[in-house]
Amino acid sequence: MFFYADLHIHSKYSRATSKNCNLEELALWAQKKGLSVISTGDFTHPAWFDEIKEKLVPAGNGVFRLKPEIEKQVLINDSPVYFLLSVEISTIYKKGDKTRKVHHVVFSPDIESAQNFRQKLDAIGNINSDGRPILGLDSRNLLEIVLESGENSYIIPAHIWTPWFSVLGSKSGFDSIEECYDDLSDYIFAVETGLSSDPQMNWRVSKLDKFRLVSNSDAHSPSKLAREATVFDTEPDYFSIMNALKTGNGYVGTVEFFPEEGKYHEDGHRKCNVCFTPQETIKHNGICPVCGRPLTIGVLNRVNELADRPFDSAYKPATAGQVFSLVPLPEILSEIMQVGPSSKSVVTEYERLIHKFGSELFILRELPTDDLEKDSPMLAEALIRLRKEQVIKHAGYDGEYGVIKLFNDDELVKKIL
Amino acid sequence: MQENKKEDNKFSVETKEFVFKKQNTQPALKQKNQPKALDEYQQAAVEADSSQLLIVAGPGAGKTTVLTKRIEYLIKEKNVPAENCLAITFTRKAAQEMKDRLNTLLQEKSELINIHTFHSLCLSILKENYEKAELDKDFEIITEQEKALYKDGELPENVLEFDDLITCTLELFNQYPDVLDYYNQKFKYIFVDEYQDIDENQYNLIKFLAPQNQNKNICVIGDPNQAIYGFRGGDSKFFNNFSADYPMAQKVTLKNNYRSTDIIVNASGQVINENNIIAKLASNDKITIHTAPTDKAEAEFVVSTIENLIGGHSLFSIDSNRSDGQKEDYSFGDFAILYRTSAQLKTLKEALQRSGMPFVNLSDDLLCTKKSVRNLLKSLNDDSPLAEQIEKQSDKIEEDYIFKYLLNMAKNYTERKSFIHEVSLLKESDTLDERADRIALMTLHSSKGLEFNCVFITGLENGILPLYKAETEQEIEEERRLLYVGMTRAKQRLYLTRAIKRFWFGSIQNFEISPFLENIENKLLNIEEYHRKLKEKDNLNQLSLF
Repeated sequence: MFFYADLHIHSKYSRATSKNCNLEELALWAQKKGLSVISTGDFTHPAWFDEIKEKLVPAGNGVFRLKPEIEKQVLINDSPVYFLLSVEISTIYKKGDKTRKVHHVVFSPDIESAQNFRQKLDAIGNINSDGRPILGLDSRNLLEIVLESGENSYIIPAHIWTPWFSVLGSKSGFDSIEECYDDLSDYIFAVETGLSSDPQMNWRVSKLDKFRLVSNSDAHSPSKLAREATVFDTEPDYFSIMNALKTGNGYVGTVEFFPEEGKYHEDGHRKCNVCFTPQETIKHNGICPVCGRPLTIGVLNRVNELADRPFDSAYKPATAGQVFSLVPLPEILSEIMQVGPSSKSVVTEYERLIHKFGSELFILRELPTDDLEKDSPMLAEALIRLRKEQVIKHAGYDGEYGVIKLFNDDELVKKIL
Repeated sequence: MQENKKEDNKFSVETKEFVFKKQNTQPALKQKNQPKALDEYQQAAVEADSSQLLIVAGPGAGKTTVLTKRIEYLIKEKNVPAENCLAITFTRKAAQEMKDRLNTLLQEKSELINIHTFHSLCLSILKENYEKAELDKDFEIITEQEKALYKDGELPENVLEFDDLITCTLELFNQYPDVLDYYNQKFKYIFVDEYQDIDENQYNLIKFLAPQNQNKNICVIGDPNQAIYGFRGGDSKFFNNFSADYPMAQKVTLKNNYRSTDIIVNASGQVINENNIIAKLASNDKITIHTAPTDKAEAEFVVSTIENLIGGHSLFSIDSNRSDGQKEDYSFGDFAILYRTSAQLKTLKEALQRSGMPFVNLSDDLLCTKKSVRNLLKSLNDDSPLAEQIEKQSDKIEEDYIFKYLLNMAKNYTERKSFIHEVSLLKESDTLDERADRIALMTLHSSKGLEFNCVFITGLENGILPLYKAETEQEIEEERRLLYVGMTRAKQRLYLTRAIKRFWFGSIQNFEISPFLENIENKLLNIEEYHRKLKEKDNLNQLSLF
């Protein structure tokens, strides 16, 4: 079965997340987006863990579903939504006299392993206040604890290029996965590209050839689900997904943001309004011309640093999958309607389209544009361009999201007139 | 060997002892600051000719280095037999560190050296002379807290209480001059660490072993500025009287401080009017004195400062400008938050808990002060394996990690009594997983002997430091030295914080700023008042207190 999965999300118990990040809303939005498997996120948090145990029931092979009576109340169609147990962990520690900050997504196949893992963390850190706990633990030791907590528990390094908090990040990461996880590195089989990088960028780094790439939303509110996702053609369960990531059997590829839209794509200083390409950064010796402090080095620059294949390399490693780039539907509607992406009119139009045509991923990727032509000619045109990747890009930098547009400003004015 | 280890464990209960596992990054840093060669003062102390030697060693002066090097020097260069050396430390941890260091310096010869705590020394003397001491051959030691762990009426026989160890030994020496003579012959070279903290009994014991009218070899080391145990009988007058007790004694002062920056060395010296310490590290980081409107705001200041120094621990804190993300190479183990009294603890803990940062309260409390642990131990019987019995009671102990620790430990014990004895010696901090790095929260007393890159001392208020209980000048001066001990734990950064309003034993108090800060020169300080914004926010918090 061909399906989309979003394996890294957060609950309402993580910092800076939406209050409606509860299991019901997440399941509902998974359906709107067209996801078959989503992660619970945050399972180390006591209140969230209780909620998981209360509202979900095992659906076999390491995945869970909402209890039937809850599903009846919240879901809008018959396509099932499966949950798997995962949690993002932040580790901050010193290694080689440098402070390291790395985020990891931990996966557990059952409640018991998850509970084991929670207990181990409870003994060494503070799991009660943040759904994404922070530990003073070497990444290697975190991986050891994960492996100790039960068979088939895994780590996938999160958004590996993010400058502040990732395994390859420019600020506090390493130069390779192996340096980070040491003797246990062989237990890492997949890495998450993050919003600011896409597979093509990762394929330039031969050290990453052996890892399968996953993409996830890292959503902090249900409506952000599936802005990136991983695509499989296997059974929608824990073991099939993990097996696909280990062996490639059943792995299809990823759904990607245009990396320019990610908030750490290029270099710069948000406060100083400075955004540089890697080449411009080199010209300025990495120093901000406004404040004189070092620029926040973005993902593109960092990839260049570790890449051993040229910028225009067409090389695809054996682990590579297909890549589907997209712009979230509310953003396209926002551009066409020239109002904010969370405005009432966009929300109403979004709901109407979902109701009429099917899930967002289906509309963006598969809905024949001819079917849309009458209903919404601008959207049809937008999708034609999106699928051909004819987009206008303004790169994000230093925490500021980039902007991807499908139309020139004058086009929009003309069409509306 | 196995047996020895166990034996050593048995007499390890000194409340002063503090088991803190150094983070793997710290030893490296410590070594970096220590010069390989001895400096002039250290050299003088190591090679002093006098058979009676008083070494004054301030914070970060290389005290243990000097003590172990001197023992090495005497054995290697002066042909002193290792088996005639007796080194006495205050804590098991200090004894272990000395063993390790001497092993590095002297290899297998170090095994012959008698390295003891006061208690373990007395225990071995009493074991060797049990008949004269009127004790049973297999008498055992029981701690105060251990007594509470037995069911009614099943207290083991042949037990000696911990605190009786020294008095029994003194009694033995009094009654049997031949026994004393034996030990006088055996221990020809005596070394005593932390001499400023010894109490009357310990002083009398040393007097027996190193009679003052004979030309006995005795070397004591300590720092009267760090004498903080007066409240339980420790008395630095013994340190100060050493030269009178042993008129031939030579005195050497180790003047260099290799631990802290010049600003910290100078400011801490000004607190106790000590200006003979030479800082070996220069810095531009002044000491921050932060005045917060309330105790809650004080705790928030501590937490947000740590967050900033770590460079933000979440995208949220960076994106929201809570932290500017500038790189500082600090991690959680670099921080210690010190407090005077447990009344300050709740607010600090709550702020840390909210922050999500990992921390541990390294309290001096023994594990068995927890009612749940006591109840579990009391419920044990001899009918089935201990681990099996414990496993069935997982619901009795709230903290999973303590339960698991006890369960794992029980697997190695067949005998209930010895299991109970071992548990009675444990501190909560012993059950911690050493793999993790955490912010250390502890009392000023517990911080003695430790060092951290960044130290926060909270509650610098007249009533907390000095504590309201200190009334006599002597007591107040001990409080002053306590502040000195806390300040000198800091290697790079030091923050002294206080609150204008504090919720204190059920009501709101306005304490004045601690008078101990008066003597610190302004140029060493960065004095921060709270911002207006904070003030307004805090008034909201205040409402909830009433």
